[in-house]
Amino acid sequence: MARLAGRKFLLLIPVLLIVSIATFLLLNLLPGDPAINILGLGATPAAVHQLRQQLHLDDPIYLRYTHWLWQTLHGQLGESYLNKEPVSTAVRQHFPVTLELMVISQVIAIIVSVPLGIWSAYRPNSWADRAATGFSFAMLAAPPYMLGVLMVFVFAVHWHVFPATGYVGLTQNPFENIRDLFLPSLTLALGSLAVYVRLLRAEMIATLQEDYITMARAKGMPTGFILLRHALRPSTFSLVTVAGLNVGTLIGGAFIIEYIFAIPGIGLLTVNSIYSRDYLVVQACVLIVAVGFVLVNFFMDLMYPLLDPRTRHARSSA
Amino acid sequence: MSYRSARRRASAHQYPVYREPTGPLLEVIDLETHFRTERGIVRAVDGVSFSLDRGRTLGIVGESGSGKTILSRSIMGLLPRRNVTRHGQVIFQDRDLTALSEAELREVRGAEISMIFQDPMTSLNPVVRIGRQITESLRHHLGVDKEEAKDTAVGLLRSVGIPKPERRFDEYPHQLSGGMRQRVIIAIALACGPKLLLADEPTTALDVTVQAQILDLLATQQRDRYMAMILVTHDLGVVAGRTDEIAVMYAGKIVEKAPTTVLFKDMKMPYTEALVQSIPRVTNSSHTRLRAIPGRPPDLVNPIPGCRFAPRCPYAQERCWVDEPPLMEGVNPGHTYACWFPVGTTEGRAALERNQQQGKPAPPAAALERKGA
Amino acid sequence: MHDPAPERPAGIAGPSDALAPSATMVGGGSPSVELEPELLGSELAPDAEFETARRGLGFGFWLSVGWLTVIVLLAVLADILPLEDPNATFVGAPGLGPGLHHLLGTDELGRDLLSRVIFGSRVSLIVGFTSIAVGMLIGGSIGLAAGYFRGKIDAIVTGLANILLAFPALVLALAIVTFMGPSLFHVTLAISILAIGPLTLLVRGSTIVFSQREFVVAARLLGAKSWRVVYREILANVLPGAMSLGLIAVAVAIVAEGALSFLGVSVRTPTASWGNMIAEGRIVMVQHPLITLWPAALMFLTVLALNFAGDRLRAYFDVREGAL
Repeated sequence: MARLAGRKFLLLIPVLLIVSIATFLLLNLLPGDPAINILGLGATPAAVHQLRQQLHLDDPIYLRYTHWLWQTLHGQLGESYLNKEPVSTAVRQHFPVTLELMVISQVIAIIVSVPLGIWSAYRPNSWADRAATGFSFAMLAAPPYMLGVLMVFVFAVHWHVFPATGYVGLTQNPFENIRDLFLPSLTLALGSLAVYVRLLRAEMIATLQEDYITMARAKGMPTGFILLRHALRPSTFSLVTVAGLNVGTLIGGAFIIEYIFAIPGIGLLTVNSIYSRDYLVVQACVLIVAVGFVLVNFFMDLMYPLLDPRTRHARSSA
Repeated sequence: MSYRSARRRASAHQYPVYREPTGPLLEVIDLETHFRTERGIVRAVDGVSFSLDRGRTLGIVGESGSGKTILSRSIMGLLPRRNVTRHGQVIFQDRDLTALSEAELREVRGAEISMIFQDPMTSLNPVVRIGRQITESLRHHLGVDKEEAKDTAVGLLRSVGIPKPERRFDEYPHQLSGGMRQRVIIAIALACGPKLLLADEPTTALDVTVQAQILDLLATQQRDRYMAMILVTHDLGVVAGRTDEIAVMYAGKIVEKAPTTVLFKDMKMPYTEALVQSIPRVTNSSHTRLRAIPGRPPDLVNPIPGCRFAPRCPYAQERCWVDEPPLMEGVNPGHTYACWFPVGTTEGRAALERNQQQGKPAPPAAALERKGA
Repeated sequence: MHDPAPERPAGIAGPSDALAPSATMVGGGSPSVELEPELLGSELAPDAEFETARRGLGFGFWLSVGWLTVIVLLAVLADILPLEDPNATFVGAPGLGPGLHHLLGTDELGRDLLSRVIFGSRVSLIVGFTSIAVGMLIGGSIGLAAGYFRGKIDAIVTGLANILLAFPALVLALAIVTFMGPSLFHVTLAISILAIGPLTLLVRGSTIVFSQREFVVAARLLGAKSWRVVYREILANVLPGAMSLGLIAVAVAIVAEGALSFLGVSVRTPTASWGNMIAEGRIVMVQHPLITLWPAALMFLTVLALNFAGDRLRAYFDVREGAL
């Protein structure tokens, strides 16, 4: 298993390299002078010249990339043009907030989707299954900006159950923190939830046709036991893959939701930096998010052997 | 509490009153299992009756599609929930299983009636350790604790001939060969000491070399535990030396049933004869052609009016296309068969001769489309 | 024309054409009916799902198609319909509810909401269909080649597509549009680029499946030229499935454009789009919830219809996602 992880880790390196190149090129290969892109059209020639020097823009592109990569690997992402703060500080402050938002949303999504998916598969075409399917279809058609706005309207403006916007740090006041994050997390969770329910239902229906389920019934095991202890785990293999891929959608959703609920995560930082044309911050955010996404999928891959013992021993028995 | 009553209770606990069984262990009466499908109603089991005594073995033989697997699952009540109708009675130890609720049935399954499935590669849960797959039914049915369940399971694994059972206990199914997996499945089936074991094609998916071992293991266990066993197979050779009685199924019905020796010596049903002739024999010279049964297995959706084997039967006469033969008593006790022109009788010989000279009589118009061959 | 195998009409295949090969294969197989395995699904899973396949597309599908037709017609005919100028302010009193003069009411600047919603749909539909068409054309051709020729081309294509997928979609779109400047063209371009990755993998997947089918192998053995096999045998079979998943992709693209609009990096106000209408209405949501609700409802129904129609078609053509 360690060897498998090692091999996958080696494959990770070129992917991360190419991701970094792409992020770098985004800013540097686009039409126009990057310095003017960064400073805006109204910049003075002197300022442009200074920035070109600072970013080594007169060097050949591969040199610039290696230089940038070297700095990035040392945590030096440049300075924000807005407040002259190091970009790394801003990223470090905002990143955990997004992470918390995403983790809570996934916890909600899994807690709700697993029982719903199991029940839908156990009694397909029952009213509960139809309701779950209808709900999933609706959620898949309701993007986070639509849901977010509606959620704010219903829960915050109309019922005053949750605050509409704002954020208190987890370390400052955990209770308020959760209260502030609940509505955004729920909004973010709904989309994933819909995907998970549909997927788990389909997988579970297939699993329930397996001989070993009939065998468990022939042993006289109770239905609930069979569903949870025999059918659930084999039905989650593709769920893990999809959950990994879903992180991409989730990040996009988090950007929007942070914007709607004014949560100071990496998404809000990115969007605000876009508005203020603070391109080095944007570049850093894109890089950090893309790398994070690649890493999440890498760890999801590693989770397979935990779920499926067959992949654990495949190497030793072959 | 008086001393006497306490002692009586203790003795009652230790020595359960042995109730003399009143009838056979299992009695299946006119069992019908029909499926509603898009093509129409599939009469998978169509009026089957038989009985089985304690400690006896019954072989159920038939081609694929004859309904034998559905029969064994109907006995267990392991049928899909929808689009199925089941009629008739399955009386097990004086209780009609078809009248039990799912919850009551669960207490019978695994504890008193166990089942062994055809394909050991797919019958064990790939993500559950072998040990738990055995102990879960022990713990559920007998309520034993974890330690005791483990001891019992390891003992069971040893008794079905699995080497290093303590180690196998913690392994996953994919780490075992097919034969070993079938042994594990047998251990699971035996775990709670069932009175009846249904073995559905237990060796079909296995290598020939392993088949005999598994069948011998089943026979030993059956004898040692005084279990009744139903051995379902498509291969008459498998049941030949290992059953007390054999029932031959065709198109959802039992067409001949007899004690094993009688069946092989004095078969009456042309279908049984065809099955026997299709068994390869060591005594034959090496290039003897095996006799295959001509035609295709019957359609269970629209059974023809007469004998369902008529389209493939070398003995078939006009009557066979029209009248369905009932189960008739043979000369030997316990021998029943459904045929108008039985093998080895004068009528049968005459029918066969007539067909060989004049060709088989054409089926009436109603059955024309299913002429087969 | 000197065509060695003229039976199969080239070009876009109808549904019956796509189903033909599998139907003949089933028909030519063994006649014996193995009933038992399929009947014996576990009690826990009572119905093997017969659902959509072979049963027509169903009422919901046609309802979805109907809705999409209405929306597309309205968008196309917006200029000649008797609508107010979507950007003209104070054509009615601000914040009117639905009424005779303004069917859907007016927004906080007194602009006609019906007109804005209809003109706004143009942005969504143009971006949605154009970007997927571009993505399908580029990704589809690459995927077709990769899936048919396999080998090195395939490895390179799959690798590149996977790297494209390594970027969270919205973040990449946001980055591209930001660095290139917000405009309808750049938004379409960004979403097209995003679409190429998944569409390539999708077409590659089903191409591999079909290249291994008997009729393709037979055509190859009969000496048909590569491009002819790809064109006549594979494309005709890959296309229906790709088109049905394409509908779902259009829904995704519309949602993505909405997100960019919502964040204000797509078309600039006052030009209406569903996304920026939702964003604008959000500010005055307490007083005038309808300003947000109308575009949200239209977008919801359109995306729902696209998803549903695509899903039905996919089931109808039996495209297995496992082919990915």
